[in-house]
Order: sequence, then structure tokens, then C-alpha cells
Amino acid sequence: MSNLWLFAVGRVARAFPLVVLLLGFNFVMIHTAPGDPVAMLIGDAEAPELIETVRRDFGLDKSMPEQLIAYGSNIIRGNMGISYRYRLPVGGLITERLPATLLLMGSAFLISMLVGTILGVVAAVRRGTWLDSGLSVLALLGASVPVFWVGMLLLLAFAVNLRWLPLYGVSTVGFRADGIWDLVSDRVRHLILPSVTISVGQLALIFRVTRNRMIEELSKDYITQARAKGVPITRVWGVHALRNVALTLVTIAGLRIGVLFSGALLTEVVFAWPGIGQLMYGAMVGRDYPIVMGVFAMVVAVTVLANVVTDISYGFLDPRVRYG
Amino acid sequence: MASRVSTIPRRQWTHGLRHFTSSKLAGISAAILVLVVIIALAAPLIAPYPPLQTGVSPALIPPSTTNLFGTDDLGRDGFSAIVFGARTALTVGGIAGFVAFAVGILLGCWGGLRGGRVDDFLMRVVEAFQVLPVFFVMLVIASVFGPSTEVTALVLGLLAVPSVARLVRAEALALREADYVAAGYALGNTHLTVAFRHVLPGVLGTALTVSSLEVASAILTEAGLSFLGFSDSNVASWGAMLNNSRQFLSSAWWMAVFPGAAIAVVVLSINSVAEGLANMTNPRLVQR
Repeated sequence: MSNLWLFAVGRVARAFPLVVLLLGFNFVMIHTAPGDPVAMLIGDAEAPELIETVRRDFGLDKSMPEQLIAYGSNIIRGNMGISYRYRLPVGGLITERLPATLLLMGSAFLISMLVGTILGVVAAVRRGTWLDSGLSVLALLGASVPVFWVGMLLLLAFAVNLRWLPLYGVSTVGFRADGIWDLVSDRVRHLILPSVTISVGQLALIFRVTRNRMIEELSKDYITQARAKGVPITRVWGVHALRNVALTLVTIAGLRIGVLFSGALLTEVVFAWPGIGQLMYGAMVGRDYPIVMGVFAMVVAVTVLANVVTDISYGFLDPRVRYG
Repeated sequence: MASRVSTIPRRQWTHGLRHFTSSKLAGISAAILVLVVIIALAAPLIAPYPPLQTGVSPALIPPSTTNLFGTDDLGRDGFSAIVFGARTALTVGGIAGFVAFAVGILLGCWGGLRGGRVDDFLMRVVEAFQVLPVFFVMLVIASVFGPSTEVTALVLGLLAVPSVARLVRAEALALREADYVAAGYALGNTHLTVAFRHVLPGVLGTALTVSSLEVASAILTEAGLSFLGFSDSNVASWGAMLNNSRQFLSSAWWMAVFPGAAIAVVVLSINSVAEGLANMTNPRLVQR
């Protein structure tokens, strides 16, 4: 067990320089961004003394290294500055919108994992049939289409033409729910198209990895032995082989969190979904740099953290990693 | 002696080519890509109208014989914009892919052959960069410095270096132990000569495959950026066309369908060519 903890601590320590590097990048970007932050906050027309006071309050009169240290300690405490447009702390704005994004990403993650794994196993055990080739071509297509275009096509088909599902948002405007089920069904109806949109690329990848790893596992001796012992074939596929494939899937899922975030951003813009993607998009258009940098810092933190967690959980799941 | 050595790779090459064309999809995709390159080069000859000129036709007319892919809200011809958009897509993909390929091989060979501290350090950097949410980095850069096709392409290429370098390094590490590489050293060659003469041919296939995948993802990322409005407004871009089409989704489907299809076709072709390349350079995978 101590071996494993050493591995975990080492992994966390190795992620540290990256986080520092990215915060440094962020800091440089904030200072490169055009426009004086103070002027953006209080407007140009105000008295020069007031501008000086605000500069001092924000610590902008200090030297660059001092500002960098202040920035670092602020970030650690979750203080990411004040939005030019909303005039509110960026941290609060982000946490307010994060749940909507996480709901979207979570559903997309579940869809892609579930469907991707099942289809991958099916293709692997029916290797070489038309079903396998068909699915493989579809997966190649799924990995090649731009995520926002998928969203637009789904909107065109299901919301504009067929009118089965709502066009945008998380809930119907002015909708009065008749009890809890009505409310849930309204939310789910809004969730379907955007979460399917994000899941397409991920699903294609999970399918391909599952299929190829499954084929590899199924050719190994322990599978033949299990079959010879009389273990039912579905159990061999679902329990023996899939368990080893799952280790690879965990790694992929961890590495892809950043991609999932960018998919969410583009999808939120297409579906007017009020998450952090929309927040960042609006901030980029309106040159609200504290929000842009704040969302970036948050995404980087989550992505790095997800990778560390994946690596460590990999160590827990697979004894070979610890001694490798 | 020299001729005997050189015939072996050539036989492998034709053998590999047969593997490549044995996949129908890869063959068709390669043909499509050649066609797209020709279209991009000959864009002024093919496009019936200047791509960004407004009012060449009535606004928002559906696909017809005069406007093959319809027109947009300002009366710009969709077909012409798509033809010229191929230039932007291929420029971004090409530059990014080349940077990733060249720098990736350099760093990968250096780390793999040198080993030790240099290798350790390089791999740490590579590992760190692989985690980076590329799209967000590009968004921050675009929002601070403003949109530029060349900068976007260059940065995307640099961000793609790690994935090429990592795999090249692994191959170079294995090749370092090969007898013929050892013989190269024994003859008194420098690291540089050995790398170019003996190791480079061995890692070329892998590097080419990974780089072509990076070409595809660079095109997708650029499309995403211009979809959000971060593109040079003086050049035709498929992503920018899609951005413009959003307001007219319910009335002018052609504005959304054709540019997206163009991206999908090009990216799909590159991806399946990459798969063909992988099969060609690593026949072990074909048998699966």
C-alpha cells in the first residue's frame, strides 16, 4: 500500500510545474491584453486621482514580480478578479454557471461511455462483418465532423423541421410545471440535443478504442482458457475481456476532459446553453479579459486534476502500473 | 553493397503501398484530398464569383444552377466561398502539420538517441503539454492578439509537437538498440549522421501518420475558432460561414449544410488517409 501512496504523491508533485507554468502564461496574457483594466472598470471619464486610488487598491502600482506573486496567491484563494462587464467577482460568475456545463458534460460523458463501449464490444465480437465495417466507418465520420456543425444539423432536423425538441436554453421560457415530473421532462427535453452533440466525437473514440482493445484481448490465452473451462461466452466478453479494456478507457477518458470542455463551449454557443462556455464566449466578444482568463484557469485546473486522478486511479486499478 | 542496402526499403515501400490501397476508403480519401488541393490552388479559375463580394446575386436564394450552394444574407455566392475556403483550411492544416512533423521528429530523435537527462526533461515537457486544453489556449491567444490565420496555424503546430515527439522518441529508443544503428556508431558516425541515415527512415512512417492526424485536428480547431468569430475577415473560411449561418438556420439551411460538409469531407479524408498510412507502416495492425 505504501508503494501506491508514494506513486500518488509523486504524480501530484509532477503536475505542479505545469500548473505554475500555465498560471504564468495566464498572467502574461492578462498583461498583454489591450486596454487598461482600471479604465475598463471605472470608465475613462473619471478623475485621475480616482484612477490612481483604484490602481493602488488593485496592486497595479507594484512591480511585475510582486504582482505575479499576488496573482498566484489570489488564484489559490479562488480570487480571479472582477469582471469588467458584470462588475462582479469572476469566481462567483463561474461557480454560478458551472453546474449547467457539468450537467451537459456529464450526460455527454455517460452517453459516449455507455453507447461507445457497447457498440465497441459488438463490433469486436462480430469482427469482419458488415456491421463491424459499418460501425467503423461511422466512427471515423463521427471523429471528423465539427462538433458545432453536428449541433446545428440536429437543431435543423429535430427542432426546426420536426419540432420534436426545443430550440435552445435549459428550460422553456414562462413554462409552469405541473409537478416534479413535468419539470424534469422539460429539462431532459432541453438536454437531449446538446448532450448528444458533445458526445458524438467522444463516442467515436471510445468505440474505436474498445473495438481494437477488445480484439486484442480476445486473442489472448486467458480467454481461450476461460472458454475451455466452460465460462459462458457473454461472461467472457463482458467480464474477463472488458475488464482489461476498461483500464485503457479510463486513461482515454481522463486525457479527453479538455476536449470535452471545448466541445461544451461550442455546443453551449449553438444551443444558447447558459454555462461557462457561453460566459467565456460573451467575455471574449466583449473583451472582458478577467472572465476569459478566469475560465481558462478553471479549465486548466480541472483538466490537470482529472489527469492526476486518472493516473492515480489507474495505479489503484492495475497492480502492474505500481511496479512498472 | 550500397545498392543491396537500398533495395530492401524499396520493396517494403511497394509492399506497404499495396496495404495502403487495399483499404478502399484510404484510396478514395487520398483521391479526394488531391482534388481538394487542386481546387484550392485553382480557386480563382473554379469559383464563378469573388468569394467575399456582396451582392453578386440576390440574397438568401437556395441552391440553383447559377448558385450551386445558394447565397448568403449579403448575396455572396456560397460555392465560391467554399472553393476559396479550402485555401484557408489547407493552409492552417498544412502549416500546423509541417511544424508538428519537423519539430516532433527533431525532438523525438534527440531524446530517444541521447537518453539520460535530455530525454527525461523533454518527456516531462511533452507529458505536460499533452494535458493542455488546446482549444482554450487558442481562444485566449485569439482574444488577446486578435485573429490571424498564420499565428493560429503556427501555434497549433507547436501544440501538436508533443504527440509526434512522444511516438518518434519511442521508436528511436527501440531503434537505438538495433544492430545496424550500433554498426553506424561503430563506424565512427556522429549522433547527427546516425539519426539522419539510420534512424530517420525508421521513424518517418509513425511521424507521418501522427502528423496527418494533427493536420485534421488543426483544421477542426481553426473551424471552431472562426465559428466563434475569431477569424481573419478578409479571407473566406468555412468556420466563419457557419458562424454567419446561425441566424438563418431556420430559413436558409444551405448556409449551414455546405460549409460544414466541406469541413467533414476534408477532415474525414485526412483521418482515413492517416489510418491507411498507419496500416502501411505497421502491417501488424492490418491483420487484426
